Amino acid sequence: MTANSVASTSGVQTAAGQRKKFKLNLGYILILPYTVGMLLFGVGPSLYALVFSFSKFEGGKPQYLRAGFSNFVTAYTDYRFIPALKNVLSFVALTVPIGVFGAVFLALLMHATRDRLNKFLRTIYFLPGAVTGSVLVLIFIFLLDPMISPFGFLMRPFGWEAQQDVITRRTVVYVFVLIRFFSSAGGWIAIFYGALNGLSKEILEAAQIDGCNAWQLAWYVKRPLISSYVIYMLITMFTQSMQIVVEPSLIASATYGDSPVTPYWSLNQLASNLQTLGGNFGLSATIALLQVVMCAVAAILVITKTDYYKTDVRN
Amino acid sequence: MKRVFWAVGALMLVLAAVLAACATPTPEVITVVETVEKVVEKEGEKVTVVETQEVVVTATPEPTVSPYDEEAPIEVWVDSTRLEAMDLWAELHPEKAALVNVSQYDRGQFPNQVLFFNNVGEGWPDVIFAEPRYVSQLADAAHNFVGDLSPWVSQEVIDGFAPGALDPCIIDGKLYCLRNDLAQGIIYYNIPLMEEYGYEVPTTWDEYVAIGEDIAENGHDLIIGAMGDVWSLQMYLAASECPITERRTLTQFCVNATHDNCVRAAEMVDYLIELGVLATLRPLDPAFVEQYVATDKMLMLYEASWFGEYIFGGTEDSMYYKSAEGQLGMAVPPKWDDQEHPWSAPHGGAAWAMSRHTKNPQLASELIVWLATGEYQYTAPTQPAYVPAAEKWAETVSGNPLYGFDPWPIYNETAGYLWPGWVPDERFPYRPEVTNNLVNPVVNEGAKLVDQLEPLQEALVPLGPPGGLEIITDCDPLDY
Amino acid sequence: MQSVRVAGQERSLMASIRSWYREWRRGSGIGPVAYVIRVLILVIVAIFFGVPLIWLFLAPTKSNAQLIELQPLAFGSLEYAYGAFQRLMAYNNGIVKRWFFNSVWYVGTAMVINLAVTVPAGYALAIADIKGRKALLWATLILMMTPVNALVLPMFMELHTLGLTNSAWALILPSSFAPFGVYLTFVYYKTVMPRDLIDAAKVDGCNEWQLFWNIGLPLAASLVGMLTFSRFRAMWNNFFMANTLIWSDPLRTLPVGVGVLISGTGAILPDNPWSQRSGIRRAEAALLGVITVLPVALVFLFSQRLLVRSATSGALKE
Repeated sequence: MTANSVASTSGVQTAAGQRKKFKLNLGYILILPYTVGMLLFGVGPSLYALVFSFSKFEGGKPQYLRAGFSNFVTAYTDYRFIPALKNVLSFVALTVPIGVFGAVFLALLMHATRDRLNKFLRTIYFLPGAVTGSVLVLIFIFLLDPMISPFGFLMRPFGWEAQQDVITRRTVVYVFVLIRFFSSAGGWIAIFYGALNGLSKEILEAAQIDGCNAWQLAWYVKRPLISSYVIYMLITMFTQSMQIVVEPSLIASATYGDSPVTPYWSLNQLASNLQTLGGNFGLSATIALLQVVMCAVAAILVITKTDYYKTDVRN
Repeated sequence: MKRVFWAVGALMLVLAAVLAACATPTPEVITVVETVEKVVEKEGEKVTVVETQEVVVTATPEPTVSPYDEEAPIEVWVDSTRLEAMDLWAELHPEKAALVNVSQYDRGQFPNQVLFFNNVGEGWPDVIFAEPRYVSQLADAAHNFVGDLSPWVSQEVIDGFAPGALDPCIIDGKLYCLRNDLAQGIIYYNIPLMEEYGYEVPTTWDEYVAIGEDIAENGHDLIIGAMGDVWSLQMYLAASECPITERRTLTQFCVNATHDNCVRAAEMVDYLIELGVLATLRPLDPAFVEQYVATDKMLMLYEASWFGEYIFGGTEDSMYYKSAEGQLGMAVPPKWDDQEHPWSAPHGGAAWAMSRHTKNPQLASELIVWLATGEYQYTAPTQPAYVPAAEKWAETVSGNPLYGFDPWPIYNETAGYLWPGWVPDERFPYRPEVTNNLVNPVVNEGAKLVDQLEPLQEALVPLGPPGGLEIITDCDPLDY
Repeated sequence: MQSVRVAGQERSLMASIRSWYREWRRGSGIGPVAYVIRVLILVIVAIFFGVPLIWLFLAPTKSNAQLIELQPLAFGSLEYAYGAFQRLMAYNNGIVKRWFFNSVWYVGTAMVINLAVTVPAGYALAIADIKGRKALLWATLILMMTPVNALVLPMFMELHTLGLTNSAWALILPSSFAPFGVYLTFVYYKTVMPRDLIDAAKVDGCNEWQLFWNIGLPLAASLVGMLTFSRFRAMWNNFFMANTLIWSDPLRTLPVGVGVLISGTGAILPDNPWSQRSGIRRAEAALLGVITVLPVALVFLFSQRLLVRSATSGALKE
């Protein structure tokens, strides 16, 4: 479609020859710095961690490849492993759909008309993600206490009068979903908005001329055009949710260390708990490996189903 | 690309093999004869004593560097609040100030950080400020960080600490830390209210319950305590010598939540909640302040020793800042009939510890002794564990017009009543389990504490093995 | 779409409302009711996101007691906020300032390297015809999936071997080569440079290098916008690595320093008596929060200018 808008059609002869000549070199040059850095600071440490998962740790130090599969057995048969897995999966099942639909919906809604409100709103949506750590703890100490929360009027009708009515072992997972949406949606909305702005105007105008109304335009034209980004978000969100650790420790701090959230609520927390307790980095590596495998399986499903890596240049 | 991955993989394996070959340490026992310079507290005055003595440092094996270097600089890691102490030290000891480098740190992250240092063989600080619950973790096989202070601290200094104050620091006969401050339980009461309703301060738990019954019978709108979080609940449990987190050795805990001692405490708390005289809110919750403190309904509260200065306080920063002058009374907590004196649980309180890797244990231990006992403690924020320093500290505290009478005798007496059977330890995270199995079911779901003791026991026992701990269950608490 | 603003021309309120009305009519063809519903939804969501921030910005003006006593969104006093600011700046010989500049320089450097590495790499993965493309994409994806937790000890040992632990580079190097941006860049170029465009450019006589330089890079404005705010936020707030790989006080980043300071003073918790001594209370903690958030906000606003630039049409009309 965009071909129509490219005006020039000259110079057919030279292209083929030049393309062959330069193609080989440039791609590799462009990718080289990243590849080197990735091997040094990504692949290398990952493989090292893989070695750890088969290593024995005595006095906190590794004896390489002397553990066989014992770390896997220890970690996966820990009595807290299945509860942690369940917690994480229930979190993922809630937060990924809510996050993805929420962000896509809001971005499309925002992009439906272009006015000055958009920029302001985008900034408002994004900024909560910039607050982290202890300051986020401070905000949530107040936010989740019906007595002193700006949203207290929403909580008191439930009969909640103190923070410990809001944060119980049954509600924590919803609290985590809320915090995750609060801190991550804005970034995605901005990315989708950027992607929508990157769409060719000709397509959108053509669709409007064809009689699309705003909703049809958003759902049938814009949404499919940003689907690559949506899949990117889906994969990223899935992996990040699998690694949930910030929200539970946040709530643990915000409840003065007196929270219903155990220090092994999620898989990542369990991994660091096991590692800090016994100094066995092999145990945390095995849990990390499991997380990677689960995410990779999910990603393979999505990526092969959608033929995601297929570009117009290569399959 | 595939080949690159294989190449890197192979490289890693070779690297791993090489590392494995040279990573095995060769431990050896070192015995050193040293001249030790000590700072000793004599009747509140600091006296420097130079002694020549044989120091057998078998407790400090490899990799402590030997011979020790008295000129080696030391690294001190404290929290932000303790920076003040280090400033004062530098001011009083200008000749050694250059040897001491101070950094703030987050001690919650520290046990993990030590594992990294252990793996590369350097980076450890020499002196740290941390709660005893971290110190025991730092003493275990994996962390292997804290050093035995007993060769470096005189018996005189040790004897100066409040009775039992050093218990959480002493593990398997080794002194791993000196206590900085204590946070024992104290009964706070409202003097005018007590007079108005004609109650006497209870000395036994039976009397305590009797007051509750009388309040309920006469329909007074008063509470005699709170049970809204682990901190407030564990005061009652420890008072009854309930063994939930009783450390026996570095790696052995007695955990018996269904012990008779726990049952009697749970039944009492259940009963008081039923009577409506025990608030089911956290004492530090704004809702608690609004409902009970601001409305003058809090007759008594069983809480930590720092509540007096900081929560009642009388300043704008304290949560119960509406407390009027002369209103606050303090008393020794009640005891059970079979007890000689009452017990309480700690709600805070930290310590100073030394690295076993330090090159300059002389300076490190001297600094630790000063930090725990010296001038800094005279005006420290919380009650010093070292009694002579606490006496000086009491002078500043007693000036607070909030108290109805001199609080020092109560501070001093209760300091010795911390039950040594209640030892919070990072390796045994009992608190979330108590929250989930006792506090939340009772506070939010109306359950009975007594019925929840068994689920709690079931949740606590499996915590042991991952922390490298042996849990004994059918145990009676020790006689302390 | 035309801009309604005409420079130097005074407009009445009615005229500007009319121009707004024209703007959305032309922009999308949605009716007034739909428009109102849209604004309503967006504003309600904005309240959910915005109110906690407003609270944070107001908190430095209130003492601990006022934070509890006053209405959540009440204003305390400017004097108190000013006092809080002075206490913060005086804290430990002004170390907060130092942390701030550390963060700026670490993150600034890492950001520049990251962009210089990421954009070409993602471009190559999407556009260039290279062997092992899929393997690299998979490796990138798997690295994104690997919990940092598992990587810290290997990273620590590796950086220690290089003598870089407890230095700025311990943070800059791993951040510079983080995989996250590469994937986004791949997605971006995959979308904005369709085959037709590439072919047309080649027909025009572009070689690979010219294609990258004259079309790929100019198209990157929007992408750089996206990368800048998302990576900047991630690097700025990188806590776990920053806290482990750097442990000297004067070398810390602002978020880590803030964490250490707040945990050390117990400033935000009511059950920590110590905060009252250090002068760091909730107001100061909130002010630290504001100081930490501001750079991220600025970078976001700046990168939004790049973001709204409509990339494709601009390039194709050249």
